[in-house]
Amino acid sequence: MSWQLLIGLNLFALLGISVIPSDKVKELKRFGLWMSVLLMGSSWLLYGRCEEALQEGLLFWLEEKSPFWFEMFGFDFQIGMDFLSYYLLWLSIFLIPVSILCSWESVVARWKEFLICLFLMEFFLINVFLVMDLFLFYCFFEAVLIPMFLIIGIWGSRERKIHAAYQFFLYTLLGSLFMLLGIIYIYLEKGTGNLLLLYETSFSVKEQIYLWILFFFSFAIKIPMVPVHLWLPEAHVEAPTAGSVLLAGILLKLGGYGMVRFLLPLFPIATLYFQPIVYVLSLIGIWYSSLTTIRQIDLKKIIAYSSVGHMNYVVLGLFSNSVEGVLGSYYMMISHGFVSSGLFLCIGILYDRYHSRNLFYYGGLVQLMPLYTTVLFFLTFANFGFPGTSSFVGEFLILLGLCGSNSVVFFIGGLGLLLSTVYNLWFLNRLSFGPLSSFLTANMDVNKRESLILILFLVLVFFFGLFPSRLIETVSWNVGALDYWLNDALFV
Amino acid sequence: MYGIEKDFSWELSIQGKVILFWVVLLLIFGWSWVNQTNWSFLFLNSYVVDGWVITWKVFFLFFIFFFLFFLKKEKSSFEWFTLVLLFQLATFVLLSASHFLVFYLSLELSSFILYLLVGSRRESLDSTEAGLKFFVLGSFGSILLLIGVVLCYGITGTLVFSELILWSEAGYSPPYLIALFFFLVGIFFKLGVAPFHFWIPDVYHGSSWSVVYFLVVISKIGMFGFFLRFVYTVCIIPFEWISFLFFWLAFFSLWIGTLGAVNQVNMKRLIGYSGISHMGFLMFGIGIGNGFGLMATLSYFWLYVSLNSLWILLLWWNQVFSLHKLKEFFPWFGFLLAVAMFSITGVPPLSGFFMKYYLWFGLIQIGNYLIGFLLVLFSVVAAFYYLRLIRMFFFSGWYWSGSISDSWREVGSLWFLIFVGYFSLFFFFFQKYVYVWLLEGIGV
Repeated sequence: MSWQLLIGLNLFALLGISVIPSDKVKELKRFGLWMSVLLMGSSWLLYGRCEEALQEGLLFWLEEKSPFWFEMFGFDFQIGMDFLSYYLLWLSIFLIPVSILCSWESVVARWKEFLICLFLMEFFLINVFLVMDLFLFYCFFEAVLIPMFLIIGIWGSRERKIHAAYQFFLYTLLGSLFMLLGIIYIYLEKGTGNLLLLYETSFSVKEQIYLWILFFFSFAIKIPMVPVHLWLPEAHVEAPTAGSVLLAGILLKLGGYGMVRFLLPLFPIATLYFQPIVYVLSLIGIWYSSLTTIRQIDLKKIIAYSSVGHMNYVVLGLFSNSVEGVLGSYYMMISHGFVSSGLFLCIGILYDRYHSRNLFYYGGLVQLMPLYTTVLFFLTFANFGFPGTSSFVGEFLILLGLCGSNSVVFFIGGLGLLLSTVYNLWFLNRLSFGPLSSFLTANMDVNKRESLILILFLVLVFFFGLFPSRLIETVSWNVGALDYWLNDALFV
Repeated sequence: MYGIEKDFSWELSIQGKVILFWVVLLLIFGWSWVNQTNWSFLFLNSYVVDGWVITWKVFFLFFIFFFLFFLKKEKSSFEWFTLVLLFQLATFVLLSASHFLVFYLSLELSSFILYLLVGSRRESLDSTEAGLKFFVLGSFGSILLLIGVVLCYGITGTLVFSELILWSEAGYSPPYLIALFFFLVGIFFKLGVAPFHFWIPDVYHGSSWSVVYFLVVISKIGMFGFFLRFVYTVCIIPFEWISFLFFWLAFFSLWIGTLGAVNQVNMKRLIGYSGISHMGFLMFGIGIGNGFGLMATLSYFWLYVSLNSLWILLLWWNQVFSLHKLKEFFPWFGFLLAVAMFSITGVPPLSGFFMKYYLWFGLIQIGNYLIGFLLVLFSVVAAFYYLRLIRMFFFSGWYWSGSISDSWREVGSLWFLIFVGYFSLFFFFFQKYVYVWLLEGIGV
């Protein structure tokens, strides 16, 4: 009764929302909020299950048999988790109440449909991290497109949103259909999509290389890497605040999760074979996106492009062929989930007040909204990995891994961090300091609801920045296994 | 207010009688389908009744039965019912035909009904043009088909399929292949497979919504059922030849259908082009050539039929309702439309994903990766124009509205749509049973 409770609660929430009439907005909001908070609470049960598995020295916590409805319908799918999937699952469950709270006043119409989309997304995300099966992973990985497409398209603000929603949908569809071909090949070749069985088998070098390309294309679009990153700034900018929070917070991590879970362990030889080109692509991504960020004037685009840079760091770490690098990447993913979604929240708050995202209209905000600026200050510093914040741990570990693996990449990537500092400080400085912009009128500082979310984010950022050991201890066992597979491949 | 019909009662309405008649038919066929005992070849082997045929007929009856609920919205419903009854007769003979002349006569009967229906909006210039075009081009297709039949008779001296099978097994003389080719071209003409698709956009453009639905869904069932049986029994042509032919046809259809639909602003033309591209997918399924390919084709066809009926009927319904300016919010419409469009785009948990999934499965099974990649590209382009419907109806504030009256016709229509929508939504859970059933039925 752990994951069953989670899925059951989620379905109950969906049912409840569809039963409540759409004109009772207040009840709808409260019901959605409390259900999502309840879900957040019950996700701790899964932590216990993962902990037990860790104590017993197992790589995964597994459900012994398929859930009854799968059996009833003739499937045999494996349900299981480890800490790698647990933290991401927790992150996605955590972001749902946050996105409900941050849209409390900014979303004015169609709350019922909005909540249905959010809980549908939560349902798919929970399932993505729960299943240990290639085919089911694919299904839920792609199903997330439906609610997100609707969220961007219906609750987005400008006309450009149609373009953005299309780009988001079509890019991801293209990539994941290529992955589907790979999955079908694996099914036909090995006769199963069960990950545990697949980890025991191995593919020939040629197969690995082709399958790696198919899978990597999909995950690279999702993460996103540079030639296929164009959907991300568009989608972030046009989505409502809740959509941006979810996109930055969890959807980008699906790509990283796919790499950790499928790409590295299933195709270790191809991973090493393609390491140089991935390095090059990531370095181009880091430098290109950082340089692009510096000259952006749309507040959301700044954060969006900086996300591209940070996620490319994640890719660098994942392919660094070292325990530290992969650990750092994972830490970075979690930390980026707080930091960038926190920054999107901040921009959403600003947008609610002044209805503009153009940087030129802002300036001297600290005189009007001191509390807000304080939070923004910390989050911006966290975004470029200031020591004491959660990103620092991730970046440090990634650089540590790279240092052992390839010193040239270490050097170029490390210089990219400097650029990250530049644009973050530039952003903070132009927004908050200097003379007060004539476009700004006196407005309310953050209210109780907003400060509640922001304080939550700050606590998380500092907690994971100051006490990284818990996460690292729990995850390192699995990452170690991953590294073992990779090194095993080296000596084939 | 729309929906309160005073002129209707069970005793007087022709619609009631016809629907009752259909219920009886459905029961009879359903019964013989479940029992599956009395298969036979009638009339000197020219009329076949077996499990395959009965299954197709039951499904055909199901779709035509619910079509009748929607028909109320047409003006001249008396003629409609006569024609639909005749069409059903033609389709039943068509599905059972095992003789070239039986086939040709039933095909012509059904084609004539379609010509009449397309040209039935007398006051509209488009409709007249469409009817004329359809008649001329359709006759052209029939003549090609007839040439094939004549050649076949000249070469083999028989018109019965069971004897032609012997010829096919004996060897493949070039004239015989040419005869079959002409015959197949005629069928491709009727199905609207590129490069024999010219009539589709104009004809759909000129037709009313009910006729579009009839052309896209109902007229395809009989034709395709016969076509599959013919290909898999009579045309046991060498595998390379068959896959070569079908892959090229499929490629043309996908190319023309997909690219034609991308910038299409007229909804009926869009439906026509998307139908062509679906025919392309189906041809790929046949081109796979083995039993698995047949299974993929069958599942693709039936899911195509259900999804197309869902979205076309919804669009039709939306138009009828918006004429009546009902203000009440109608959530079923939005929900079902979203399900239909995301499903036909091919997003996983919905049924539209599985129809493509098994096609890919078959293609990769025979090692045809290149075509797999091609299908990926085409389905991404297709996603673009299916999503456009979502955009139209949702992204700029939804203006669709309506409620249903409590007349049993409206309720019946809605229940049909809800059934098909939920079928698509929950197909994920019982897809394995469907495919096991299909595979057993085919005998793989």
